[in-house]
Amino acid sequence: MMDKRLIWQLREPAGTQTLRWQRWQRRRQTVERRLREAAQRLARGLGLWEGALYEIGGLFGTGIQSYFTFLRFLLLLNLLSLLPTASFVLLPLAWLSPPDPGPALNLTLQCPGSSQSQTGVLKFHNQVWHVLTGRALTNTYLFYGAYQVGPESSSAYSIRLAYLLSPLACLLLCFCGTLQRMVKGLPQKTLLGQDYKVPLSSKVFSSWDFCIRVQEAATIKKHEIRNEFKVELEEGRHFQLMQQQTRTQRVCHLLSYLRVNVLIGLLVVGAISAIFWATKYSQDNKEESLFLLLQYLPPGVIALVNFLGPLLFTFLVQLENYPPNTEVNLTLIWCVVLKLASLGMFFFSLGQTILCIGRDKTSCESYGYNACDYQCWENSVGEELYKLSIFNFLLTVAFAFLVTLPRRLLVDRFSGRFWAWLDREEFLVPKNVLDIVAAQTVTWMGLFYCPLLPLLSSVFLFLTFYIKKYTLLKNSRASSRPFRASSSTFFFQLVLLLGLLLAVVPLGYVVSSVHSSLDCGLFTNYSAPWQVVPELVALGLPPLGQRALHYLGSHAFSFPLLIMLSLVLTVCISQTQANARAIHRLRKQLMWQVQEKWHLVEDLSRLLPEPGPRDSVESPASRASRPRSFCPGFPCPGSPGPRDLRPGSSVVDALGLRSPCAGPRGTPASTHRVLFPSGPEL
Amino acid sequence: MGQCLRYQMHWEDLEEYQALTFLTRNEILCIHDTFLKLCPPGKHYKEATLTMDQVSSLPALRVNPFRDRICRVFSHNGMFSFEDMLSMASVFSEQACPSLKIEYAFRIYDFNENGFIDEEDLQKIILRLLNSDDTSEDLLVDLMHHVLRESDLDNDNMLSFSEFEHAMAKSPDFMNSFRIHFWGC
Repeated sequence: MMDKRLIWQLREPAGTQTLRWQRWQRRRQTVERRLREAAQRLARGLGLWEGALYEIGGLFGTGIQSYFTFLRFLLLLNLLSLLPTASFVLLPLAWLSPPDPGPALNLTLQCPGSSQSQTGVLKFHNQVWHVLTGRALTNTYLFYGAYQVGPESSSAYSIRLAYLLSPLACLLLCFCGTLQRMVKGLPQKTLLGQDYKVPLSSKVFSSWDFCIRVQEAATIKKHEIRNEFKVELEEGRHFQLMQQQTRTQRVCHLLSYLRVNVLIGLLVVGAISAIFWATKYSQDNKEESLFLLLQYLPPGVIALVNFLGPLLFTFLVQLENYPPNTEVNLTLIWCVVLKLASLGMFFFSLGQTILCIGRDKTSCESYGYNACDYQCWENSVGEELYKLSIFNFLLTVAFAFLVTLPRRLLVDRFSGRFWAWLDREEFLVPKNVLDIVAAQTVTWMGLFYCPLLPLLSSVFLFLTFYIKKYTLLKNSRASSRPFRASSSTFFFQLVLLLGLLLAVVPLGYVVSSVHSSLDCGLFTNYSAPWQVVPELVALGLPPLGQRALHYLGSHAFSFPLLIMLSLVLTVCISQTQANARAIHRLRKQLMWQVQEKWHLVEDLSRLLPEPGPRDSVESPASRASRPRSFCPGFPCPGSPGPRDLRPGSSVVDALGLRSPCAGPRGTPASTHRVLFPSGPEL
Repeated sequence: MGQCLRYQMHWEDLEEYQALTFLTRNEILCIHDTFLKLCPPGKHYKEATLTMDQVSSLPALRVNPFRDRICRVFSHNGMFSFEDMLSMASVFSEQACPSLKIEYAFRIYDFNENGFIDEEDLQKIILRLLNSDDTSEDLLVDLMHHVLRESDLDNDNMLSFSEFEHAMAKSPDFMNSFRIHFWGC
């Protein structure tokens, strides 16, 4: 601190008259620093839950803490997604209060089968049930159907355009936010070739979590570290063995790899078809007497599949005897595939029943969608996603209080071999993260049909934080397999991005090519919601603007853009390769130079006479290695004095180069010191 | 263990500390509070010093296997002044720059203080990271060879500062794990 103060004072010696602008500058700097601190706190979530995160980190380390940080990040994303919708759609709607568009169209429909009486459905008047299925909220702003405005005009604010563009804006914001966080989680310097995974050496130095403050957590962490090192060494040995395999052995290994993957792939396909049939059945039999069960059948099947799937995958993968890291990664990848594929299939089968995608189009011919069964199909889709969201949350709550809590109570109360084997539930970070990522994907899928779904998700995420915290602190034990915070951050964001892409594809398709319902919502008179944009462009923009937009959308613009992007990509790649070659060369050079240095030292120690002990001259080793500070203006506090070289030429010993005059190691005073000659001696 | 004279920190001092360290205002005030609770009675906080034992028994450092090294690196003549504590908290804070952390990590891990992390240092580090009572000799030797083989670029069986820095740059965990919150409040 004294050094820093000295430097600071040298910059601005006290006593000089500070000019007015200097004082102003200093004040500006303090204000800037305060603003930056406030912005950082805001970006981290307004300091929300800082104390809880700190406690969890101290007790369990940064691996488990990363899950909760990720949850907070998703909460912020959801709240952020609400902003475009609320400010551009809801506020103008409330303010402008557009007039009623007129009576609903009378559609003449030729519907196959008699019109079933709806009485069977309405038998169940339970208010709670209506809220759970979304029926009670059909005419609120939660769902698409309640939004209604008059025809477009060039001067009025176009709520249609706002409604169309706000999901796209939300998704873009979320994409940028996730990408930015992902890039921050990458290693600071570029990764070279085969050094793709974090080397063991850096793991040794960075594996201790300095934020741990409880003794039990420290013990657990030490066990974790030991396991991790063992695993790493085993992986290394396995790798060596693999290198020495003959070609036939390698082919055998590859075949066995393929075998297990094909098997798991078949299981995944089976699971997805189950979801497909469940959704179809639920949609086809909407008026059955088992109405209650069928309403929640698709979410139920999805949950079942995602519960059994990981257990089966783990079992199958363990049969093959892979190295531990490969096992974990393989299982995780397949779990992600299963989760996202089940959501995708759910959405696709909804599309099949409602929009006749992939089956005979007779019922959809007249209006572009299945008008007989769905008066307002966007509302139906919105309701399905709403039910899925609620079901996921209820499942989390049920698991926490009906499975984990009783398990803990039973294990604590009884002692016996079975209970000792059962033990408390492990808090598995990847599984929990996949759950919330899947819930977030559902929210994103529903942005167009159910604009206020992010609000619901935010509430659920908020409650989930406290439930999971309670489960972690009271009812779980830390898992024996460590989960590194950094790789997990990158992995979570990657899965989140995949979910986002999965949500964007159907949205793009629906917005650009599907006919909206004819008697509800905003886009009743358009062949697809995107048609609002050309209409408004024609109405509102001057001819020059229209021509510019036409150009931007045409091929004449996109081909040159594509070519330019390819050029930029090629340049980047070749630069990276050139850099990698340069680094390789420099490493070789470094080795040669150090060897040269030691040769010189050996020669000199042979030529020089035996010197007496000198305090002021340092050895090359200690002088060269005194760490220099790289941060400008912040040198080391209390800079160390010259360090004594240990007696004995252990440094020289290490290379096996013994100078002829060196005494035996460990004897003090009379041993030969390796000294670097100062100028006049040479 | 009484308390120091309870002086409020002057506004200019607070500003100065904020400019000289990476700490935020709240963190500096928290450390000030903690320091006041521990230091000997009757002294002004700027002149009082704490012993290494007192600092080692702070909740943030109590279970850290490297606490003696941390105390040794950041103290002067075996004693901690208030500004030494601020320096320590600044290096371990979230906002500190990576190069500063790497520099101090190197000094902490250099047990024999010869400017290199050699085999002896590595042995001590590994023993402290694992529960030393049931660590086999093979595991230790294996690990040491592995580490040196990967990071020792100039083949002198020791890690110099630049080799250490190179190894740390490849580890994205380092910034996350080399962080201590000194909050007591």
